[in-house]
Amino acid sequence: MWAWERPEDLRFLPADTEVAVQTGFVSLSGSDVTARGRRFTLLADRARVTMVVVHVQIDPRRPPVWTPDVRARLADAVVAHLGAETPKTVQIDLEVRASQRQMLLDLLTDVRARLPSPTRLSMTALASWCETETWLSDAPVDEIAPMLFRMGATGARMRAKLAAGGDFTNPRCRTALAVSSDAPIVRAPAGRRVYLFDPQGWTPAVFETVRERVTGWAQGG
Amino acid sequence: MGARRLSVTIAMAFSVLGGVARASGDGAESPWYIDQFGGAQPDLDALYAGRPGIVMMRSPRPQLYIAWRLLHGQRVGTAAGAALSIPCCDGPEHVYSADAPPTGVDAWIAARKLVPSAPELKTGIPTERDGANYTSIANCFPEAFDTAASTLKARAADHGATSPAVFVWLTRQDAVFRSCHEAGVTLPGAGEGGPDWLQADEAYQQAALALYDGRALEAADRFAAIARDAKSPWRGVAPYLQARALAREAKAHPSPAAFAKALAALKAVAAAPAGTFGQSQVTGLSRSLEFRSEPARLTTELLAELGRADPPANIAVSFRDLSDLSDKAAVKPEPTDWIATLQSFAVVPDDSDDAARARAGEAARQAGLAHAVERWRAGRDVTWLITALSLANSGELPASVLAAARATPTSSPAWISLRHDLIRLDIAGGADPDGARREVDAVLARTDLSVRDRNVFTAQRLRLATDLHDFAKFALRHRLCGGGDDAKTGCVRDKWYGGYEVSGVYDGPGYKGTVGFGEDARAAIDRMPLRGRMALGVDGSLPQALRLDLAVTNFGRAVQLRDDAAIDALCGQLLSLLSQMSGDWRMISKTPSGPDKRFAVFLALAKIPGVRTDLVAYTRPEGTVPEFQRYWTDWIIPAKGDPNAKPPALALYQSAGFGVSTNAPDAETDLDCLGECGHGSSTARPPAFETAYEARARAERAFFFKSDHEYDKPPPPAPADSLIVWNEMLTYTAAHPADPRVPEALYWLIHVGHYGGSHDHSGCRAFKLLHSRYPNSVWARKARVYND
Repeated sequence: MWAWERPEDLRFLPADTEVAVQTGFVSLSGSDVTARGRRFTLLADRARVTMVVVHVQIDPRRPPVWTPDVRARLADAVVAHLGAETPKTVQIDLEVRASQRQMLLDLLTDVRARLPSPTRLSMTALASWCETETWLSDAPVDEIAPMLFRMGATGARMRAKLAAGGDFTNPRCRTALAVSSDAPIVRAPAGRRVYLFDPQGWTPAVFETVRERVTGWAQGG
Repeated sequence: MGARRLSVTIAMAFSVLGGVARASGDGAESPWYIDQFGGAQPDLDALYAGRPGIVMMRSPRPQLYIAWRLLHGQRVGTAAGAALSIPCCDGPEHVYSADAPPTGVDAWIAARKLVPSAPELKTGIPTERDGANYTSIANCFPEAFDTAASTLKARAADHGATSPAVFVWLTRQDAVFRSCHEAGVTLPGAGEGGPDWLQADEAYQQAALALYDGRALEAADRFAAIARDAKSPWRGVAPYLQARALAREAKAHPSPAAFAKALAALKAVAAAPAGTFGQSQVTGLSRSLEFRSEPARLTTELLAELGRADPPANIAVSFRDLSDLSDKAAVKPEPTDWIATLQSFAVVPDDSDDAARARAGEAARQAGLAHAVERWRAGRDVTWLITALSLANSGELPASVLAAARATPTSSPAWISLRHDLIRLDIAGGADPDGARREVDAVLARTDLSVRDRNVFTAQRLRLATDLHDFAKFALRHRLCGGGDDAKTGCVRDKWYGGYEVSGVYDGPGYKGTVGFGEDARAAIDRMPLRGRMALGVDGSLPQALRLDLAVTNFGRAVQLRDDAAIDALCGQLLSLLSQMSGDWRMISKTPSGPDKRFAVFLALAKIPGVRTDLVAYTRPEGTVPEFQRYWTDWIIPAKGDPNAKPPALALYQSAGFGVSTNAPDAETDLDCLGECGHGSSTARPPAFETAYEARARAERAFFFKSDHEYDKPPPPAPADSLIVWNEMLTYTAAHPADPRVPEALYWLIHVGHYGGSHDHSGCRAFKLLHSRYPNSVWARKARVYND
């Protein structure tokens, strides 16, 4: 369950649910790297919080200047905002344009190099990347979580493929997936880690609704 | 359709919006034409220059404070306006820039390169300490890094960059900055002597390290000692740093004595000779302490500062302090009392049900209204007049209040806001429509309306439309802050909300476009009978994309009503509006009524997942046919109408259903201002004539069977003797094996089943038929599995 940056009280979560808390916000604008930590509290059983997420964004108004110096600063900023405890898993959330894919790969490589070896590295991915993008195979991560929401024009095809029992073309995308509470998926492959996003902030009722849907996949629904 | 009939249709469209209550809902997150954050840059500039427009209760407090100032003749201007239009005071972000001379952390990292033997920094320098519950707290600020960088340059210049003492100094300073993030860091080689300058600097570094490490009292003592050391180069800055350390201590361990000690130290800095280090920071730091220790005195001071005609330099910080203090005060100062009353948000427990929330909201509205009237009577202040009108329902305001509002001159900055509410109350109170129309037209003729305000007045004008063309003329709203590119628009919305906009509601493809139907217009259209909607659908003043929306939803209605004449007419429109399916439209048109025609119609339905009978539930088909979005539905055509069928709740239109309880009664929903303007009800008094057309719309609605259902609920049972669309398609395909359309039809029926829209496993049945009868068809190859 993603705990995005807003006050969240997830103490209602059952024991089989883990929390991925967003602890850092890093922005790249030209050659400027701006970073900060989480400002709003997350209340949750600490045992549930197994993953931290750093959201990285590239300013669309100022093209990034991708020098070795900027590259190092970006990775430093990400690693500096992983929170108080070394998490089991770190997830990088960064959407890039086609021309910026190498930057994402560079960032993942640099962050991986800065993390202690037992720490797993995860990345979010646009669902379309898992269909057509071979570059994704080079990502130095343990997990790729394709996001099955806000998919744009390709969304219908992707949903149809999954509903028909299909799977992501890139096998590296077959260990996790992400859904949003406001964009239900009729059916998706079962047996993999599911990230849940809610655009409004979690409540027990919303969680239960989404959980039932996701459980339905495993039951062949 | 004649003019009289058209006007009747419109009157009917609004007749269901009756009732008087509190406008409700949580305001709009996604709608796109009423921006409570002030809209795009030109409108924000006009606001800052003195035109508050409609004062909206859901604007952020600092922006409402802009209105307060303007309405009291105080200046705002661009700098203060911009500062008050974004969230204030959330602490510094750390910016690493290569475009300008390095500052802060960058400056320090750059300066370290002067020393050849400087240890490599494996990562950057985190400047925040981890707080509770996964938060981060800013600990070290850019000025500290700037000071360290310039000191290192000076020491390297004086003693040589390769000097062992400079190297020691550098490693100690690295330790100081490590303590920005880490606890328990110690200074390497402390107390080992060395040159005098190194020892003097060591004392300073020890004090700084203690400060960052949370040992504030120790830091204060160390800085005090430095201040007394005539030989220390840090003597001049030490008094301020001592005061800062004492301030940290007071905040960490608050007590009257701790606050008094810190404030006294700050006063001493302020009283020192001009130019003493840190004097410019004293006011802000003192206030941060007085906020906790002397809230009443600080409130008085802030009110005096903010009460001046020109905005103070740190207006956003001062207002934030005042606002926060006000939240804790038993009696609120006038500006924040006004804002709180305008907003009159009810405080209810999270687990309250809708009824409890509604009761609490209504109680808050009535209490706010009484307070606003009382305050206006006490001082005749126009801001309270605005608030009273904003909170009032028709018939609630004393005549003197209404008279004062009507007498407000057009030149007043309050005029637009007052006029908006006066028109709202007039319409709700059943005032002469011609007079009200003239009033709105006069407002819309003004050239100084913001885009947002023009959209709101346009909604009021729509209520008074005289015929269908008039309706079309005022049904459209101009988009604000579109596409999320705030750099182009200057909108500040994204600074407050991380929301996103829905697609397929503008006049462009996807998220693109500049105009679309207002939510009020969409609700009214959905309450029209088919012929009225069809007439609107050919109005050339509407953008093509919106006419497509009308044509597709009208098609869904015509199918439900088994109206072949309407279906044929709509196919004529759809030939150009949805040309991706031109073959289907031609086939339907040329096929005589009967089973063959129904099959052609149903095949078209099976290809467009987003068809619904109402705009609020529909999704525009865009792109190629396989790219059309939304889930299919189980189309069922009842033999007999359901007299209890109701149109969609108005709450579904407000904010596209986000943040508004779908159980909210129609009378509590605000489709004119989407819940942003005020708590006073905006519901129109229903026209008292031509109920025959309302009856017609209701009669048609009776046949719109809705099979969409919640995920956790079973589908509603089909009424007896209904025509089950997917069943009839299957029957037809079985009976016409040679029809070349059949394999494709079966393919689409399988597709429908994939997305939960099947009827009695129609997808499974289609799959079996397709693969048993047409195993080598291209459609069978495309549908290799089913999920139904």
